[in-house]
Amino acid sequence: MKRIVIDTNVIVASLAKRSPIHWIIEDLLAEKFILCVNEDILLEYEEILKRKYSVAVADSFLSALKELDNVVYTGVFYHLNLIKLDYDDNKFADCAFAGNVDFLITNDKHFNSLKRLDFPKISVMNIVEFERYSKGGLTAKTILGDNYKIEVDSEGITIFYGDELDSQYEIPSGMLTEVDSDNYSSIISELEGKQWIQDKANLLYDLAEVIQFSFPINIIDWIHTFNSVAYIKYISKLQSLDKTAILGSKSAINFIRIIIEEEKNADFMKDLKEGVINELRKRAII
Amino acid sequence: MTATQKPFSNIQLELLKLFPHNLNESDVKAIKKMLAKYFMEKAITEADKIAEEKGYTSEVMMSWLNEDNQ
Repeated sequence: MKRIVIDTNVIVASLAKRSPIHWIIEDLLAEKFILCVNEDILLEYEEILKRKYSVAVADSFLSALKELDNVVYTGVFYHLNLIKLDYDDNKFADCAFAGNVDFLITNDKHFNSLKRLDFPKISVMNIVEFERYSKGGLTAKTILGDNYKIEVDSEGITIFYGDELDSQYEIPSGMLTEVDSDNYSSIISELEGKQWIQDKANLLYDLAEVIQFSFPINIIDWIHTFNSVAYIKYISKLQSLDKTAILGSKSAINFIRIIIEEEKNADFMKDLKEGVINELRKRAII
Repeated sequence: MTATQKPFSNIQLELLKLFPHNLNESDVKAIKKMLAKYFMEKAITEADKIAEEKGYTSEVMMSWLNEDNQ
């Protein structure tokens, strides 16, 4: 999940439902990003919410932040004083630095000086840029695999497979970021069970790469999604290795599952997870 | 006689009554989420009411983006 710092003006302007940027509050509540704050930032949120709205609004908003798991308090270890034009803005830059954030969201021009710094590199995004980034969108491209082809256009993704690439599987754009209750990617979970996908090791990773690149703000838990993919692959490999024995039946699979559960710390599970994480990192999915 | 500060607030007492036992992690998470939602909706509803009263249109709110807070 992306870590961001949000300037007070953006918070205050987005709170009311009628605000054109109310989606920021909705995304915060839906835990689509991690909001980094520190004491000074919270005090400023409170002060300006009181000024524009009321004490009750400020109190409720801060109570909500306290309960949200995706709000992270970062201690400030350095006062960098990076912004010379308005010293009050430095708390946001300091928080961005201490919290190792991906973006600082603001329309305030004082923050432009951060863009010129080589170190620390703090990415500043204005509202328009953040909206484009958050809502995401597909751009047309084709990915050629060994025995499959992925075509992306603005409407969605089509996977071509089969000997002549004459079979198709279509995924509309809206489905790509759907998750189940554990934040596993719904589409990856659905595809991993398909027979035709079993010999296409890279297809699911290719798909994840397109999804993450096109919709950078999402709540998919990629590591767990792909751990599950690798686990199921492992099970089916075991199954195919010994079809003559008791294996092959459902109870045998369950039996293997139990053994694996018991040996959770065994090397192969560790390797499995490391392999998943390496691949996801290599492709910049996480 | 001097007034004594009560050790717990009304909500703390209520929560203490409700949860004498340890809850599992996912229950705690769900309750925190419900509380967050409740408070955020309260803040939004109240903000909408005040916006109506004070005539904050969407244009006014967008103009706040470039304001100097000090």
